[in-house]
Amino acid sequence: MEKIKRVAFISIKITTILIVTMTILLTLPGCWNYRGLNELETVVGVAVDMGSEKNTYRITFETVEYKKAGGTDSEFSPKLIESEGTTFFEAIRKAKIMLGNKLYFSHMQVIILSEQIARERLKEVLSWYSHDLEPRETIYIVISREESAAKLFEAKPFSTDFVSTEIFEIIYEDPDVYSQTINLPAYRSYDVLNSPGINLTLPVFRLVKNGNMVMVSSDGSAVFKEDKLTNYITMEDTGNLLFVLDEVSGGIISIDFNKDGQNDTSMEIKESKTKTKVKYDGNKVKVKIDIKSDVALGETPKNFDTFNHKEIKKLEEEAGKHLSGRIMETIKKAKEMGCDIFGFGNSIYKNSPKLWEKLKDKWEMLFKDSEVDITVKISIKNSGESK
Amino acid sequence: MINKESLTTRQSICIIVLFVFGSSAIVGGEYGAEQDSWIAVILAIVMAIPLTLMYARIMKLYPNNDLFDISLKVFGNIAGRIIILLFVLYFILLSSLVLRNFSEFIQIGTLPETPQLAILVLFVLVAAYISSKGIQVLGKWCAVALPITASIVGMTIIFCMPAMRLSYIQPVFNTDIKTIFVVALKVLSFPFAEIVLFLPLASSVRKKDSPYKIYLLGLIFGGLMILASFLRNLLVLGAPHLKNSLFPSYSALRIVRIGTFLTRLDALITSNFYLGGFSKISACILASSIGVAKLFNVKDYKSTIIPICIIAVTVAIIIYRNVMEMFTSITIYNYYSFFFQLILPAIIWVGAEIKNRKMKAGLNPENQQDS
Repeated sequence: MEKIKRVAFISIKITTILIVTMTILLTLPGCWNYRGLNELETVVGVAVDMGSEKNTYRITFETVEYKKAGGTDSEFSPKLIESEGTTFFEAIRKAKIMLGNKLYFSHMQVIILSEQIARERLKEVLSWYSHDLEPRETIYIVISREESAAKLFEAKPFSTDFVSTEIFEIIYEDPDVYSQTINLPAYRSYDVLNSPGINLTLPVFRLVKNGNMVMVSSDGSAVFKEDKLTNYITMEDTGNLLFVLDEVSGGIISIDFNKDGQNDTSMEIKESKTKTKVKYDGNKVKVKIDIKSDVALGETPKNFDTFNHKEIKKLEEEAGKHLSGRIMETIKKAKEMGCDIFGFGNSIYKNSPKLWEKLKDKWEMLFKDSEVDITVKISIKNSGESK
Repeated sequence: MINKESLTTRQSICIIVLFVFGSSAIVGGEYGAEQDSWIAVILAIVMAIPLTLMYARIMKLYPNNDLFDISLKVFGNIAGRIIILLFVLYFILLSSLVLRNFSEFIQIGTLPETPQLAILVLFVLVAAYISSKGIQVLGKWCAVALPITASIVGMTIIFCMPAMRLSYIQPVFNTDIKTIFVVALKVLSFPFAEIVLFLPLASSVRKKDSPYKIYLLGLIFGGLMILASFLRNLLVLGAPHLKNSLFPSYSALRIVRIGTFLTRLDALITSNFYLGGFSKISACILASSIGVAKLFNVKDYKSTIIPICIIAVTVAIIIYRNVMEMFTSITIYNYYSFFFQLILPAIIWVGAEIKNRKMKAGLNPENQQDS
């Protein structure tokens, strides 16, 4: 009798616990801040222009339209929304006055700045992005070379559904494939902007015609002095800059081996390592750049014997000479601009901060007068599938 | 006092490590010396060693007694009670500070629209439950939680490796010695010297276990975890970004992207903060409830837990106006906490030594075995 009572008591207890747990589990989790896809406008990219009135921003959002969501055959298409405001954040929230749903930024990929914004307001944009928790640190900030930033959204994306994701993928995969676009996520641009002795460079995009399709294309980079855009450099210069910054892990070196005015040899970079040493001897800055690249032959000139060690050696030397010449050109251009995009000054700051304290006021002059010495060692590792 | 709960050495060490690491899992990343802060962290660990030796000595002099018993025994009923009162106030304050860190982080990081009170109450309820089950449960919980926390720290370091840039550590020694020393003092007071809080729990440590070993191992292991997380954050974010970030560990992990499948690992850091911070809050609540019980001669400390939790939550709500104040007030905390971390324990230690000598002189056979 006693035992039966106890069993009954325990089963009542278990049922109570079960009921309570079920109620809590069914009602509490996840639903407090529930926001379904239908209640959000997912922003994938933002273009920032100057507004129609003085001191306002005009922001264009590229958002996702879900034509058919779920499963493997989801369909998306881009939708554009425009909004103006006196501050960045105000313009973002003001978009709500014409939208049923709130804009949602966690999937944002890029911020596109017009030239004018980049010349005047870069810090403000970076400030919004670093305070707001929704956008990720790994988005890219790019500069539009068209008359407005929003103009880039008129392009037709080729591999993805949105211009913004297209730009993101172009930049993200560039170091391994072509190495001629600055790959600088927003959190690192913040670092570069706040580090002494290095000028910020950001990727530039423009529209190009491909057949009868308008597409976005990477096109060199923009050079900043402090937080103000001052110059542009070409795509080739960007590639050379990346060599000095040691950001290269792919790309093509083409040279004219037979000296007949026509490039006949190409090699693909497999791996590259750059070491930069900056020294100051009392009145001059001396820079020593050491590049070591492993490459694979892609095209060879007529009658070239890949099994001949002497020929290979000669090709390696030739390519090295070509590369160091190319990089030298870019350094010359940067000296003319007076912009230390290579971070030579930063290298001094990192290795001897006390010396940097003395040099920093006259750094622009010192950089212009600096002596640069480049040694390139290229080793051909293979020749692909054929001799 | 016959059926006393006891802690093993391992459990005690786990409590100390989680206590040291708890809030540092998320707050207090940039300590003020930019990329040289790691030197300050090491210096702080070194400076914490004499402090912990002092704590351990107090434990050694009166084995099987907690801090409150000791102060009663050494300073008598009135002076001892004043010391207990001061300590209890500090512990309650500490628990509300940690609670507030928690709710602010959760509100900024994950649940922006949930009122902080809801978060605070839920957390303190769990902490109250674990404290009411006693020190042994806390010890076992820490022994479970520490391996998880430590392996998460290890894992995040591995995941962050592709994003790390070794040059971010340069320039080394750019900060002058004075600044580094000041920063080290700050790190010492928050979080290292906070392990004074283990003294109220010390009565559960078995007599045969060496308190020196417990304290030193706990300090060094916890210190290494803090050092490793700091270096991880620095090498991923760089000094300017680190300085700008309120929750650097969280920012660092948001950056990680390995391939396309391993992204957005910030949840790992959040879970670490839950595990560590929760242990810290529970230990604080437990210590203060034991203190209050001793202060008012309550037989069972469990009855004091709920009132203390209510006080802690209330204080946590009213103590700061905003999150900026929470971060700037750490500077003030550094000053007054030294009173509880260094001066009061030192007084107790000196008193205990004198008392102990006197007893020995009186040839008390019990205490002679001790020395």
